[in-house]
Amino acid sequence: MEGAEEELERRSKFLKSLIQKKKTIEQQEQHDHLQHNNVRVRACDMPLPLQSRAFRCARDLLDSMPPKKLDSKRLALTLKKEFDSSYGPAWHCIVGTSFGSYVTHSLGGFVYFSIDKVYVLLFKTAVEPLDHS
Amino acid sequence: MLEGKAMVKETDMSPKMQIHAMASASQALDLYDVYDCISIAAHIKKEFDSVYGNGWQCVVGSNFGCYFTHSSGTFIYFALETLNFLIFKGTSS
Repeated sequence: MEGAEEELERRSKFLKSLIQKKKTIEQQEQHDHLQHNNVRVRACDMPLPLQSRAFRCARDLLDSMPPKKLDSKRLALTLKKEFDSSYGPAWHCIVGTSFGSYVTHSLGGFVYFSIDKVYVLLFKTAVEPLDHS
Repeated sequence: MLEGKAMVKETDMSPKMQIHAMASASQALDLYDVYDCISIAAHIKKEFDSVYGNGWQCVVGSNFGCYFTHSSGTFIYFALETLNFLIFKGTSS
């Protein structure tokens, strides 16, 4: 009986330590993720999956650009085209370090975030059918 | 009367609408400080919404690049004083 109790105690401690390690690893990964992406959402009306898509797209492109060389137009183009093709037209994207804007957007189609030292505004407007006249 | 010299960089607007855009920007600069880009943009956007129908977008600043889809004949990009102005109609249902 005493041997069995000791064995159970040992197994219990082992499992607890495994769980704790897993939690620690997950927390570290999340922290690394946020730190690496260096993203801060400033204003938003957009489902989470689309937000994540925008952040990942921006992060990937910025990482592929030469350091300290921001190509605002290229980032804006990339984001707009990706969202137009994935979520339908018409998306608009503004990227820069110094701008203000006032826009009308579709419901669920607006995010304004900063990544590194650049600001990104991505929003959607409804598209009317072309007038065939 | 325009203060300073406005310079159109790109547009597909009618000349009349272009003049209206630059006049609206000039008026906004009289009302707001040059650093208050959002109020300036809001002033212009609201003017265009009320005169030409809803769905206008306006971006004002000294450092930005952008890509957008606009209705035909509704886009202008110009510089006035230290700022750049982008106005376009992105269609609105």
